[in-house]
Amino acid sequence: MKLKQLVGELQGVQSWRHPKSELEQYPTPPDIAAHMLLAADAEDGLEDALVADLGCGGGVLGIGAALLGAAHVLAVDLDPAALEVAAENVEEFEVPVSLLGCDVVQLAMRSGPEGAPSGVADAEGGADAGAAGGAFDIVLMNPPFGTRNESHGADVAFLQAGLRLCRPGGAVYSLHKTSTRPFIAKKAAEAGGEASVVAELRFEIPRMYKHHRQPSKDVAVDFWRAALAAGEEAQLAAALEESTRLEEERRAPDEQASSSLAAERPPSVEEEEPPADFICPITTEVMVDPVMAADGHSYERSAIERWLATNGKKPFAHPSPDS
Amino acid sequence: QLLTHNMLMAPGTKNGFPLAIEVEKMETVESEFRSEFTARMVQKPVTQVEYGALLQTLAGLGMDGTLPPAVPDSYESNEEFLRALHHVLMEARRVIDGTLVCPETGKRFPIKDGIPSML
Repeated sequence: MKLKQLVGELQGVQSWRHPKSELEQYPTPPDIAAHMLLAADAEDGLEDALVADLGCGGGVLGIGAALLGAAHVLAVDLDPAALEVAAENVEEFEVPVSLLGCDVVQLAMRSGPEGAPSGVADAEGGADAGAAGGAFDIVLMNPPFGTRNESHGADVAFLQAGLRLCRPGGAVYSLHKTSTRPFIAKKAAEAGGEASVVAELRFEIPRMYKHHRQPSKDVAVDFWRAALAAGEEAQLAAALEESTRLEEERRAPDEQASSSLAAERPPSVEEEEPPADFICPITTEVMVDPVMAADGHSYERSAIERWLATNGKKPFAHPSPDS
Repeated sequence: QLLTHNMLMAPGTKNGFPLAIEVEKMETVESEFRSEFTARMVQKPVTQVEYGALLQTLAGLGMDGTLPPAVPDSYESNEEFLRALHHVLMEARRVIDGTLVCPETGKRFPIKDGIPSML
């Protein structure tokens, strides 16, 4: 399925009627969800996959996975109101998605035959991710970022839960604020995973709660892929992560000062070709600020605005498929 | 729905699996048979589906005899087995209203409108 078609389908997914600010609820925009899903499909394959959508909300990621051929999806959320909406969406789309009300961090799955159950980290400290391994081929999530104090660090806990839940060879796809990039890499390695940033995206999160002063806020977000590293690979991954972290720290003062529109490729533990969908057709670089034009293709915002300006057309005000 | 149920453990337990199912209302749904996916669910080493626990669950639901006592050799090409397994995992006994009971702690988790709540 092409990007434009998938985005169109996902626009039909209803979201919360009354989002709760304490849970940091907002819907994953259909174009962001579609990018995530197509990347997961290209890299790991969604056809016939067993998928989990953690913190599913209205279920857009899980439903999208099913539309791309997943055999079965388990969508989990803490909020019964969200699950109610998700249930309506699942029925509407007629997809094989099961729902579960549970705190993602508490979610425990029995894993493969030899391993200990993969679930909440035991008292000894840290889940034994190397030995156990969960059930899912692909885990998807747009976790609460912790922009409010109450949910600080929630996205890390979600990522670690995701790594526990995926089977050996499986992958987790997640979103985390760009400003937390070195922290996320470190935490993934601690959970026995190797992780890399697939792309840097921008979310325009509309004003949803009374405490937001601005009509909408632009947040720079990293789209991550994480996978369990097996044995020696885990040690290598941890060593690479450590050196990347030191590199990041050396560069940190300059990086934070410079514009986040820099086209530099994000550092990754393992070099991966970004999916074609993340490359702007105009700049041929990985997009830092992707926007979708009326033709359904995504372009680097600065590039398409320049093109439209020189071609005598007005650039659009904000990223939306309707522009 | 039994595929998910077979993988699920009660949160915070060491061995809270498989959860006992008390059914008040259930339904059977139809779902597309995918032979490779179904075979993969019992394939080593991952074995997403634990067969013994599945049989135990079926017995509790009064569905003895729906599946053979062990996964047959060369199950990957045994279409009759795979279809029966698919039916059990994905179609039959989708609990609409009921309760899941943890075998370790006895804690009860309600299922309402098809959604279990382990909060």
